[in-house]
Amino acid sequence: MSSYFVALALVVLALFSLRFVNSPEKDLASENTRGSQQDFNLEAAEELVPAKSRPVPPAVIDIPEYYHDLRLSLLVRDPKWLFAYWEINPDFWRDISQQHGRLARYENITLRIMELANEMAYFDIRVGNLIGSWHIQVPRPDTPYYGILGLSNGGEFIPLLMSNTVITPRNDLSALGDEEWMLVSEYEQKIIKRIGLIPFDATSPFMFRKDDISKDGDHDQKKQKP
Amino acid sequence: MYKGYLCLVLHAHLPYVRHLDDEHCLEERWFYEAVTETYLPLIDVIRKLLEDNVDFRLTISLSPTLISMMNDELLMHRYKNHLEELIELAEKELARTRNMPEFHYTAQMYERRFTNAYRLLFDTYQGSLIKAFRQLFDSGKLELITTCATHGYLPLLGVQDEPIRAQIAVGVNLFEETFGRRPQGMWLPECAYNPGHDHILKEFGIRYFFTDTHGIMYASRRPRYGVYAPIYCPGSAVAAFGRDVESSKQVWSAQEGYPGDPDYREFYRDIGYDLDYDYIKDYIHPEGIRLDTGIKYYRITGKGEYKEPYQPDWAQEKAALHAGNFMFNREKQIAHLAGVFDRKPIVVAPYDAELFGHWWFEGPDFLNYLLRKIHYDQKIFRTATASEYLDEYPVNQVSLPNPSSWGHKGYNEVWLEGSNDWIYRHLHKAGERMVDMANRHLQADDTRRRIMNQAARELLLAQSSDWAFIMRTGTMVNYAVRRTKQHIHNFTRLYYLMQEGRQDEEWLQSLERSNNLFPRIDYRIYASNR
Repeated sequence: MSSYFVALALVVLALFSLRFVNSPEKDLASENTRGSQQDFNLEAAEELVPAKSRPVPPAVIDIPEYYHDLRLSLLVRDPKWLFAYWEINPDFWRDISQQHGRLARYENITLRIMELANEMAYFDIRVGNLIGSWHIQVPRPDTPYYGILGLSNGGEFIPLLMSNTVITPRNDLSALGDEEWMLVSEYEQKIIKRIGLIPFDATSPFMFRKDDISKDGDHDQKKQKP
Repeated sequence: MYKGYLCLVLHAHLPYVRHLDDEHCLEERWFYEAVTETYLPLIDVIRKLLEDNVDFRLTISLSPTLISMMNDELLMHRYKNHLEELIELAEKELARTRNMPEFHYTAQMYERRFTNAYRLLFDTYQGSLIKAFRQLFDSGKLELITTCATHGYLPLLGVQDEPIRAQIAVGVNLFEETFGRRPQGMWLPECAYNPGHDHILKEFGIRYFFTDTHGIMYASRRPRYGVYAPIYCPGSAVAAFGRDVESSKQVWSAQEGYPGDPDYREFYRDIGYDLDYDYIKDYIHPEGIRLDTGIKYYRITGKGEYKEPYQPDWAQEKAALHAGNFMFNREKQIAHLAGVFDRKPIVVAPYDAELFGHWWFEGPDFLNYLLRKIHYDQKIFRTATASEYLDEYPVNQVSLPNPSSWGHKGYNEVWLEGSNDWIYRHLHKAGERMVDMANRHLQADDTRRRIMNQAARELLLAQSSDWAFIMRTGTMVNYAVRRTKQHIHNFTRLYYLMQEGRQDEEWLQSLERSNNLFPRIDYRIYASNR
């Protein structure tokens, strides 16, 4: 019961305080809750996007839906997801239809996702469309994948076109712990370039292992490493 | 002897919004609000630190679209009018609140702030924000860097290098034209990195960039010092610095961060919404659309809707307190790291600049107190820039940063999900066409050169990461869709003009007037063998 009075008192207090800044219009009251859920963890380009604005009508701008292309593109979304979009142009499809007869049906258009390093590791998705896109879950981070768009009725797979290769990012610490160190010094690079004795590209920085640094003693590498 | 460094980085960016024929375009207000609330207060803080001989280092990334807007006569003219109206409103507020002691003091603060902002920009710097930043840059205490031309999200721009190179080249070139020297570092849009980008940065003399924490922590080979020292990308030797989680969270987090303190100003109680229509109508949109004026009288108070009047002095005290707390935590953090490291650690704390002042009204005051306190009140660490750190430690571990971004979930999903995935088919195709066009027409007459230069501008504008981001957030989606489609449409039409050997001088001129950024762009930046 007491909490009821506390709540009532807060409401009265709120109304009282609002009177000092004239009365806000009632239909705008909901606006004041706009930001309570702001997520600062997000990249904050949205900071300057006003929550209320003049309504912009949906765009009626003419852009091509497709480009009469033959392509399959893969993009990386995160360590476990890829995104594919593709287009098989009608001319190519006509040729394919003539070549493969009954197999060349829309419902047989299949996207095969392959691991680059293991030709036995793949899976198929029946995409059933000449033009489309798909978000695809993949098994492994830090793994190169590519895609093949082809025809399949569950048995034979006829490849039609291949995508670019992508590598999923890591989502954990690298297992490789051995270290390589590099000195990047403008002065040193100039000398190396002038002498011209190095067997690799003269603009490449001089590379050496950490042990070498410790030996020459010029660098702050003497203490025990953590 | 200092034990380590704090590298404060503010990334200032807005998409290019300039609507020639719409003086009251609401989206242009993003720029006006950011100038009044963030860029001018930051300039003011930095110049006063310099006047007081406070030794500090700060890095600010100015995006090329923002530099272009700061350089644009029309936008700056409109901004001047905007600020004059704001001062007029602030003066009216002095009269309206004269018998409201709980609000009058705050009204006085606004009148003073807006008037000072006007004097600073139009008297001290003759209306040029660029001039202000250039002078501060010349002091050696502020390091300016930049980002990609239109903040294109590099990992999703396609498989060709040329569109990525063009984003970087145009950004670096504009920076050099504006500030007379090349930037030492580059802010990768949304901190989004893919292996290989570093090689392109190297071509343009860039020494370093920043990634999110896991960009370094998941690098291969494992980074010996975690995010507290840079790593060199194999082959390119460009240094990657990683964001420190601890210091980010203290400022960034809505739940735990300083900006949510009850004494700070509440963003969502603006007189543009709160006051009677007849009183405020001359200061909101002429069509009667209510909007933020920048005058807000309440403090955050608590989570509910009940808000108490803002007390500027309390907020100042809180900003100083938070600055002290931030410094104390960095002292502990850096002293600890220095105890286990054999080198001085660097704590990298990057933020969106617009957080300071626009969202977090007291943010510039916090920075002011923080930089002064760091200078006067402790000897554990000092502020440094990334390039200074590389000068002191030219030997660093070689390791390949992990592909990553600082968006939600840490990878590309914010810019590649159901609401915005449709754009990439068009962006990639336009990119390929641009490269093809540049390769085929390395020499061109004046009109064809102008067509291809404008095509490059339209492509760059379509690639702004902001459109995909806004589509994903669900507010202003139609504006973002419209902008994407408009620039793709313009590009495609220009491409066909070239393909068909036609001209459309009137339309070309109107595009050159409307989408006029990067006046010195050369379409041949897209050529494969430049």
